[in-house]
Amino acid sequence: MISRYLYILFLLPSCALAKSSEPEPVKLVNACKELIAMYDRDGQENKLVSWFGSVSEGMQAGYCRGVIVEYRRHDDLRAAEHWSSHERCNQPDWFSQAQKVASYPATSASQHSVASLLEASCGR
Amino acid sequence: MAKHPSLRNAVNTLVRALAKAGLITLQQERFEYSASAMKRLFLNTVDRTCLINAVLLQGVFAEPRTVVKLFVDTAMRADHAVWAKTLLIDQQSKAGQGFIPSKLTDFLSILATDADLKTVTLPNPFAETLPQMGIGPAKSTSLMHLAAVQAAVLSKGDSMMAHYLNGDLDKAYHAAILIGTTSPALEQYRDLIIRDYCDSKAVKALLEDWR
Repeated sequence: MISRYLYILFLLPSCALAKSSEPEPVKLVNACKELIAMYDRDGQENKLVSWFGSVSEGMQAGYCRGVIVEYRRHDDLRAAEHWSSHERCNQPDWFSQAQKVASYPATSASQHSVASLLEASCGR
Repeated sequence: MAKHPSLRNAVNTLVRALAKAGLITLQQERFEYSASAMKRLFLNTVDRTCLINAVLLQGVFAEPRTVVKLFVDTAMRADHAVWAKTLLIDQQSKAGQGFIPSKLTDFLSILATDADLKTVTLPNPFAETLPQMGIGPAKSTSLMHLAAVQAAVLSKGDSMMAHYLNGDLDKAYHAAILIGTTSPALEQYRDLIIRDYCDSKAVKALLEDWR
């Protein structure tokens, strides 16, 4: 009898736990997928898109952009320091780099680190 | 018919509206040997389907004007079909009017197509009584009215909610800002739509700014 209720107890928080258990690189890939999806939806519909209740998507999208913009800023600094040996990112702007990150399958992203994922998205 | 004066009145009004719109033809005949000068109206059998559908639609949408428009205005018909579906299917347990769920689904899906309502008979979604009989718990005379009272969506809120549920936030917003303070529940919907509009505008501006 008690085991039956314990089982229910384990089921309840599964929704809230599902995301936090993901490794960082998977989170980044999923976040960039959300970001690109937002732009796709905004571009496809010719009327105002309702974003009511999309707080989680919005935050993920902002996270993806923040990570990539900061990575690129850092990359520019490195390029200024080591201008002779530095290999520039082959993505012209943050958006195309975000598209590249979003194109990676979330399942295989867990085998890499966030740094190597971002390096790969720059073709390095 | 005679036992339910409110149904008779409702159908009479409807028949006149349909005739005026040229959807059905009425034939007037005067009884020569009748003492009263009352005129009797006769329907052509070809208009039978049209009238049955109209009575059922009136049961759902109440206004004869709306019913007539449903026959001729395809865009409005699609709007109303979506709206009715949302209000009736989602709130059916609360509506209090007895009806047959499977028939109601059929009724709404035919309404959502562009099948000719003058030839295709709609299935009767009402279980035993027509709402026009006015003997439901709320004495409401249409299913939509009943559901709308429940959802606190009244006349002015109609187009606002229809646009909103249709995913047209711009039109819903413009309807919302015209609505004064009528009922607290309607105000809540109005404020929700205005907030959603402002938020979504801000998201759109942010997305554009980022690019």
